[in-house]
Amino acid sequence: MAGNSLKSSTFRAEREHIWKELDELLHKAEKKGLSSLTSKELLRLPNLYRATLSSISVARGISLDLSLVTYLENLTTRAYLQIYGVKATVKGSVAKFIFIQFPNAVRQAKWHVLISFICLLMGTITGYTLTTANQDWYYTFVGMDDSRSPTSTTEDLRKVIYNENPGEGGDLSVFATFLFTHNAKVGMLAFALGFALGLPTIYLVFSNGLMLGAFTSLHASRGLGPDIWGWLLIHGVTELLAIILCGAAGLILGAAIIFPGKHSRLDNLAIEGKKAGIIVIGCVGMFLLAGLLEGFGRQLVTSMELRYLIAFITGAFWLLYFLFIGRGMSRE
Amino acid sequence: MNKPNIQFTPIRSDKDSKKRLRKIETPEGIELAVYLAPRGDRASAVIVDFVIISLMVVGIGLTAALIGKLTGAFSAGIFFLLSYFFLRSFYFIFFELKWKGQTPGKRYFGLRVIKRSGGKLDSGSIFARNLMREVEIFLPMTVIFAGGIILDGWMLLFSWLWCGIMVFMPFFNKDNMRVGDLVGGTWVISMPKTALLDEVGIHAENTSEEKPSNNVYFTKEQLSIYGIYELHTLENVLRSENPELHNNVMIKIQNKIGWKADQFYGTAEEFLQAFYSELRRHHEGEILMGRRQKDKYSGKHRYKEPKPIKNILKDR
Repeated sequence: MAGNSLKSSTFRAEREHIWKELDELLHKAEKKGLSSLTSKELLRLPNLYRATLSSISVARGISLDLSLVTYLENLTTRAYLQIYGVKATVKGSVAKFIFIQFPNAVRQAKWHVLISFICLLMGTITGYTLTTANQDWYYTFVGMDDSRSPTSTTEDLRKVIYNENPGEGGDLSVFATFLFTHNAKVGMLAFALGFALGLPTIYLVFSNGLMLGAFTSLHASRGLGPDIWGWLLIHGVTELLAIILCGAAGLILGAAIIFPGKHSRLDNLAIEGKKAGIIVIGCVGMFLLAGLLEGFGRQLVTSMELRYLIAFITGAFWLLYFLFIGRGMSRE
Repeated sequence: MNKPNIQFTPIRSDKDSKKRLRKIETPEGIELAVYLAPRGDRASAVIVDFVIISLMVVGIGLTAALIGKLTGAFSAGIFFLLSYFFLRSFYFIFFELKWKGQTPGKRYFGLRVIKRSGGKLDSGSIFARNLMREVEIFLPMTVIFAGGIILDGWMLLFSWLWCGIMVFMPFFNKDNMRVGDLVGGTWVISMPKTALLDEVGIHAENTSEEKPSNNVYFTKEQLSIYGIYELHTLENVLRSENPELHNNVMIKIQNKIGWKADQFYGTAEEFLQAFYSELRRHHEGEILMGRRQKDKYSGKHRYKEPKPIKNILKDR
């Protein structure tokens, strides 16, 4: 037996300073973020990581020092997570999100968007037809507590459309904010419910259409058809589009489970879920824009023609945005 | 040739740590061990996060009240609605983006979100996994508090059932994944920090080439009685610094290996230190020869005869 020292012990003594250095850098990065490292330290990190990675392969092979192997396992995993763990940062991802990820994700889901659109359209047509035939349907689709109902006078309905009720200005902007948060929550719910094979999502989008149909039918029956569409579409182009997209995101989840394709269901859900998540976050932004148009635009712009013009411009804007922005750029 | 079977050593010695062990592969082709977070830790982390959210809601409420006094009720209402909405919907997304898969609660309990496939955790996955909280937390809460008002009969029962499945999803799969993890393609892992402890054993104290005067010798037969599992256990015993335990363990070992008491003069700790060093030297040598003796039971079956080909053919 030559000497007292073990080979694995010498191995440890020779490399311990590398691990300690990596450990210190990681500690700093974990506490204050990678950006707190100096450029010299940042350059050092991958080298130390690779050296430690080779240490763990050797240690697994030759060392029976439990604390050493445990420590190295932990250290390499920590280093791995710092170096490869997360791609996204808050700052960098916003621009990339708006100009690449969101429009690309929507384009990839064009069939889901189409189906979601058809659901909304069917809902609207059903709601409109039924309410036109019998106005009692209005209570079923829209509910009882809305201030506007078949019992309101035509004059009252007209006044709401053109903000002629005095002293309601502030109230309306709070209401618009409430509607924004409410719609965004419904949108997120439409996505999340897609997990149940997409059925609740279809129902949610369809029932939104019913409400829309019943509402416009009521006004159309009083000869306010064009006026109500102007009142709705000034923000509605953005809002309805966002509802359709959230519905599409829910359908993506449902379809991912029903038709897994060449992947396993679990893997496919993860792949598709990512795209759907991007769409829904983009829709929250759209709901916010819709809320601004509703809160400010609709109060400032009271002429029907101008409202249609704004609706047309926003429609054209979204069309161009989803058709052309970020096209050809990789999703990475 | 088979891929070498890598032996991962459990970080914690608790019973389920093996169940929670998962492997991810680095781009360099090295497999790393990660440990899924226990459900209890995850529940605790989410509770901490919701306590923080609640405190912030109180803060927003107070600020809104102040704004209301200064500028009027409408702007206060708008402020409250907007801040509450963004807090509720983006708290988790914001922190998981900013803190590399951690929220304050997760950081407190040493948890982290990682990608199941081993790649980088991207924003899409973070969005998806946190948006699912709508059906995991917010919808069940609505059903609990208001379900009886809106729904009745079968619909209510169905809602309870559905919410139950959503909330308790982590119990229905072996990876403790909640619905958000399924959709986002993520795992939540537990990353307790471990320190590099000093080596134990007589070889660590005396690194000189010459042998100490009271050197103890063990025969090869004595050393191959115990396996690697016992070696690791002995390492932990030596770190415990409990003289009584040391004494008990020494007596057990001496009985097992047929030690003659007159061979050694020293304390129990000295004996164990020496035995540890020699046992480790023995097994590390054996590993180099391709023989890994897992524990004391596998010693005799080290050279297992391969099944004769004839029998395999007969089985068919």
